[in-house]
Amino acid sequence: MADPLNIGVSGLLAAQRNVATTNHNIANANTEGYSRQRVGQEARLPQASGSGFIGKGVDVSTVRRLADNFLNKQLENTLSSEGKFAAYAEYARFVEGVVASENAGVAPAMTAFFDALQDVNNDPNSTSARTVLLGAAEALSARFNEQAAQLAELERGLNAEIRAQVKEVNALTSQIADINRQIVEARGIGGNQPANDLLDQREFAVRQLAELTGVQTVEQTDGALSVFIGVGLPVVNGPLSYALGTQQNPNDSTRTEITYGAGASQTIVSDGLGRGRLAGLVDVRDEVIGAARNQIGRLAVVFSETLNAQHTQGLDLNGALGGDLFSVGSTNVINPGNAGGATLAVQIDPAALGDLQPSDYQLRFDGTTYTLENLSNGATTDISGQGFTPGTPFSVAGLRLDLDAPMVAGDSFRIQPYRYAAVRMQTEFADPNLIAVAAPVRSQAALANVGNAEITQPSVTDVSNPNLQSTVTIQFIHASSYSVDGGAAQPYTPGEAIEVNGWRVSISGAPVAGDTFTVESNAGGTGDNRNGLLLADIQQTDILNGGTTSLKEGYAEIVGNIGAKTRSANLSLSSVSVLRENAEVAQSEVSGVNLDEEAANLLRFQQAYNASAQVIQISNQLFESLLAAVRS
Amino acid sequence: MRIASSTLFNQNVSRMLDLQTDVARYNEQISSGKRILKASEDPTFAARGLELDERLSALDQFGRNMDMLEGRLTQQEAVIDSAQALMYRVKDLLVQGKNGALSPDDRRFIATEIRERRDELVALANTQNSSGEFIFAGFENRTQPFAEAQSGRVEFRGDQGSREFKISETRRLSEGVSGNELFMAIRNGNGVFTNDSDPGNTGTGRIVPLGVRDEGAYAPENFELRFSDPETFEVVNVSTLPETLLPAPGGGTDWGFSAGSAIAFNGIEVAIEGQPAAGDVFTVSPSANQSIFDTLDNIADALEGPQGDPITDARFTQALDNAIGDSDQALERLLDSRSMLGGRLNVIDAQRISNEDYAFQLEKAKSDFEDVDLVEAISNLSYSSTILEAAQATFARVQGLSLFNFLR
Repeated sequence: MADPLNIGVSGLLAAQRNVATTNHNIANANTEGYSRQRVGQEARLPQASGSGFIGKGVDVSTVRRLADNFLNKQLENTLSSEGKFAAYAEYARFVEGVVASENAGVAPAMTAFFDALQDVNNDPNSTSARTVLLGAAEALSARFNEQAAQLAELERGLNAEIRAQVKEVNALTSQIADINRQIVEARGIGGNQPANDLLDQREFAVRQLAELTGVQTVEQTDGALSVFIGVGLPVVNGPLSYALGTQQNPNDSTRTEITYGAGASQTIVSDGLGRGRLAGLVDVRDEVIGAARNQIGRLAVVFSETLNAQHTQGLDLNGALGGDLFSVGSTNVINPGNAGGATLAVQIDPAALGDLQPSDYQLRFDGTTYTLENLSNGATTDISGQGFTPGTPFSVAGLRLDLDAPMVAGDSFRIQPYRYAAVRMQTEFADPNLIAVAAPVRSQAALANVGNAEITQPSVTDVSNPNLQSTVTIQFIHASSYSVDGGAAQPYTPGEAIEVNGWRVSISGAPVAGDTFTVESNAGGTGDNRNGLLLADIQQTDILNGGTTSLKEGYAEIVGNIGAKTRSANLSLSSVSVLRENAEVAQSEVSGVNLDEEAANLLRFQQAYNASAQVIQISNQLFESLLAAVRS
Repeated sequence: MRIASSTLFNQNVSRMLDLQTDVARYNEQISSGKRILKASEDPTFAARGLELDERLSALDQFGRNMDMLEGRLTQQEAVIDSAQALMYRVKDLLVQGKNGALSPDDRRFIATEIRERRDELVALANTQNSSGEFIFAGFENRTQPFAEAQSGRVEFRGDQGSREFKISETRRLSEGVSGNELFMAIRNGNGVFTNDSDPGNTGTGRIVPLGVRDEGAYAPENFELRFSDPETFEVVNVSTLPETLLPAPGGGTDWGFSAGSAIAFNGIEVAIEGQPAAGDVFTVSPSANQSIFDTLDNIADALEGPQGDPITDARFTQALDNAIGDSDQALERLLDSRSMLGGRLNVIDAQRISNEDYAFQLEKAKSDFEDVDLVEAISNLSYSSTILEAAQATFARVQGLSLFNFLR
């Protein structure tokens, strides 16, 4: 028969469970990853009687957690996206700070250099102006060094973070595998009741993993969760986890790559992670830091080469031809353990500075053709088709490739034209007298000339000509012909260039037979600034990008690029952050604890408890009444 | 719909953080006066801003170049002014020296003064600037350009170079006049041809230039007017091999002589005054370069030369006339150079104005891009601070709302 006491006790117990669960919810209101729990209670099977079914009280069937798998996955996805863009934006902002800061950038130092150069042009004999120019040159190369070093340092930091985050991924996957084991065990012990708090812990661990790398999860029938990353590589399978590793890139030992698998099956998966912080780190390393390093390196190379080329055409205060003003670090070629013994030498082609691209390259040989891949845009050029053969220096993309012997099929070389360019840039001399702003030769019209012909000052066409500074006499044999140093008569055309010994002059006007002009060494011509003016013109000459961009615009272009990348990373980050917040709100709408709700529940279950207690008391009184009736 | 307590809390907190970021940003905008604080906020401007800065700095540098150039030009101008005054004095002395009433001693005094003037002119031509450079030496301006050689003549040891200054991105301006041009390469005579009487002449004839009549017909060749007798002469082109006789106006090659009347050939006209003797020769040759110092030396030499009989007097007058022509050429060169310098100084002034205009445009463009609109920034700041305060107040209120407060 239905026992009111039993019914009361069952209500009391159910209320107790409810109060306990509510307390559990309240206690975990601030626990990350916690999902609120609810007691599942149901009416006991009633007792059938002739007068119908008589209720027997309540049973607590389960304690379940309120969670929505779809919302959880949504949150994982948005966390992955946010993790990626957060890493990207974070490092892009660092680069922006290095490159685009108003006072620390290369631009003001370059301006100061050209200003100091013009001051020397105004007063070429002034040692103080020359000293200031050398100081400005030092400061400029120091600025290049510093920027390149900071970017290299940033990249080192990023590589260290990749290693740390890979450890974190491994810790999380082994934690998930461990929880899987506990969940399967708990289900066995608890008679298939859900292991709520373990499920929350696992969900939370997956969420943390999703921030680091994009994940796909599949729940197995035994309750274990399989986790895959990237292109479906399993990292958790039941109670087992598979660790990721890190190794140096064979083509570039400064880069840390992420690997999957062990031994012979170990593969680099850095580029296949898709989303998550690790993917962001890998992307920002190439797209922002690497690009900025190459762009700054290229600017350093083109700046030095162009200035040197002009500077060596001048004459210094001692009357000697100028030397190089700057030097930059050499190009870097990496042999990633080739089977063949061919070696590759790469030099900047000073005649094709405009063709230089801010990129690294990979030279490959497939057995029939040599190809060169531009690693920043992926464009591959068949250079065999353009005439490249081993043993003959070949110019492409502003680089001179010199391969000493045929490569073995499958071998390749990594070419880093600017790896050390900016970081090792320096000025070549410290003696202000060695700055060459004078031109090596000058022209004179003889005083005895009768005609009104005039000669231009010579410009240098080939500084390497051994007779460049020899005195040369141009004498008019006739009003319409002249001879050079007594040589054969040549027809005279006013204004036409006359090229001798690596210089060029032109004579205009009407000469008279016997008129002479001489071109002679300008040694001692310390007041001359013709070469200095040509050096100063470099500031606005379009050299970069196929002769469309000047040096000063070249730096502005770098700042603009970095700024644009940082901006788009910031925008992507804030939009995915909104998505993540929305997903979080949606998820917590289902799973989060609302304290007011719990307080209300507490009141409800307190009342239920009180009522059940009252039921027990009344049952007791009923029983007492029965006893009293029997006693009397 | 239900909301988790933590969501309520987190949302409030992150909203307040956002608002604080806004407040900090507006605050920084106001305190720095700049709209753009990072390149990523406006990448186009960041690149353009660098270029604008670069241009402005270049304009600044052009300004400094022009200051320097102006100093150099002004110094040259001052030297040329002094040289001009000196040459006017020489002209006065020449007029005095021509005066027939003067005794040879008087003329020697004048000659002495002219030699002193020449030395003074050498000193002027060797003027140095504040950097110790000889301003008329050309490129080799550390060595003194003008010096007296063993022969007593002043020689130019500099070169014909002339330094240029960059006054805009595309424009260069030469530092000034080279010493060679100013003092050395001066055409003598009338600038086209020069004439003289042969020192061995025995008559009293003097040749005077009347001028160039037909430039097209003029050829820069040497001619001699040779008197076969006092009434007849030949005009001989001695530049050709063999010599050629020029046809006389009346036919043949014998020219009839008439004192003071024009003799026209080779596109020019000369006249002979006085009475030449048989065998006298007069030369007409293309103008050659003669230094201003040689011109002064020639004047002094003439003043000190033999005088007193008609033949030497004719020779003296010829020499002084030639010297007057030469010194006019020298003076003209000084005047031309002076006005050329003036022209360059005007170019500088004009370039300054155009550079300033350009700088103003650039500054304006930069400020449009870069400067913060203070009114807007301040109202943004006060707007976001108000919202922040409101958010803070609501946060405290919302967090205080709890059913537990009533469970006592």
